[in-house]
Amino acid sequence: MITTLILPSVVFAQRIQNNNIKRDTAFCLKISDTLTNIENRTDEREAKIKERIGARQSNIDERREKRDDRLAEFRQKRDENRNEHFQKLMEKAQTDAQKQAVIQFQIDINNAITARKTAIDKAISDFRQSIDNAISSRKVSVDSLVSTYKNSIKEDFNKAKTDCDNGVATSEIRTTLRASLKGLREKFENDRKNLDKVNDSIDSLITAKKAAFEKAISDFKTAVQAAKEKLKAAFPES
Amino acid sequence: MIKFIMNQKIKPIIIITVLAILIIGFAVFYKGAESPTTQENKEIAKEATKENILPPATGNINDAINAIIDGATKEQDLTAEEFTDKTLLDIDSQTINEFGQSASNYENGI
Repeated sequence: MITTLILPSVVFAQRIQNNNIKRDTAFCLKISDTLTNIENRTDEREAKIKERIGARQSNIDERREKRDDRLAEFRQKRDENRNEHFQKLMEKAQTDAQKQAVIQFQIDINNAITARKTAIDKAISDFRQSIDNAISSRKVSVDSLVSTYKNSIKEDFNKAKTDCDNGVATSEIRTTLRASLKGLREKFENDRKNLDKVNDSIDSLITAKKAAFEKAISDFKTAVQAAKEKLKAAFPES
Repeated sequence: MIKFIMNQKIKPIIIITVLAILIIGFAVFYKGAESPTTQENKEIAKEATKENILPPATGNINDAINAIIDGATKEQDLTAEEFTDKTLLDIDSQTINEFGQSASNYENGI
């Protein structure tokens, strides 16, 4: 009678224990496969990051080249147009003093334009250098983020494997591994946010370069104004 | 019979209307789906047209001065486009975020 009552409970307990052993064994056996899956995924996503970085560089190079071509063409056309204006002014000059004033005006304007072009070209070149530095710095940070994340995942899974081999309770291994993965993800997110701080430094750089452009234009206008007054003095009727 | 004739007359109208709607829909969709590069190139072309309007030489001092100042102002506008490259800096953000989530669905599934 007692046997009849106890036996099913014992069998049931045995089954539960067997199932737990099976599940524990499955967890430990699955660890390598899980790591491989994650590594495949990280490799695939790392490749996408590299692809985006490559696309960004090509995009920047292409845009710079287009802008350089446009600026060169613009300047050439403006130089030609300005020479036409100088020529017309010279045609209007009646006296030697007026002709001399036009020549001087031409020299003054050309000097002012050279100074402006030099200042603008330097501001562009400095800005491009800063963008390049920001990109390089971001790339180094991203590479470090990626390799740290990948290595940490590997370490966590290797630890789990060692714990399995050493007979540590599966529930404990599982909890530790989950916590580690969560910690890694959160650390990654925080470190990634720091990348965006580089953009803030670019903002202040843009302000500085805009100021450099404005100063170049303002200096230019002052020089043009002075040249205009000198020329007008030679052409009182104008 | 009258119904049949009406149907025969209305049929081409319906077909033409449906075709017209499809063509218009396709045109609107195509225009909306233009790549950023195409739009950017159009913008550049539009700006380039403005840049290339040159003030004619008249022999008047004020016209010459205005032409010179106009050149400087337009050059400033042109060079300011340089700053738009800043937007390309974090173009990799999305893929970096995705990378950081590589193991997230294993966190609870282990």
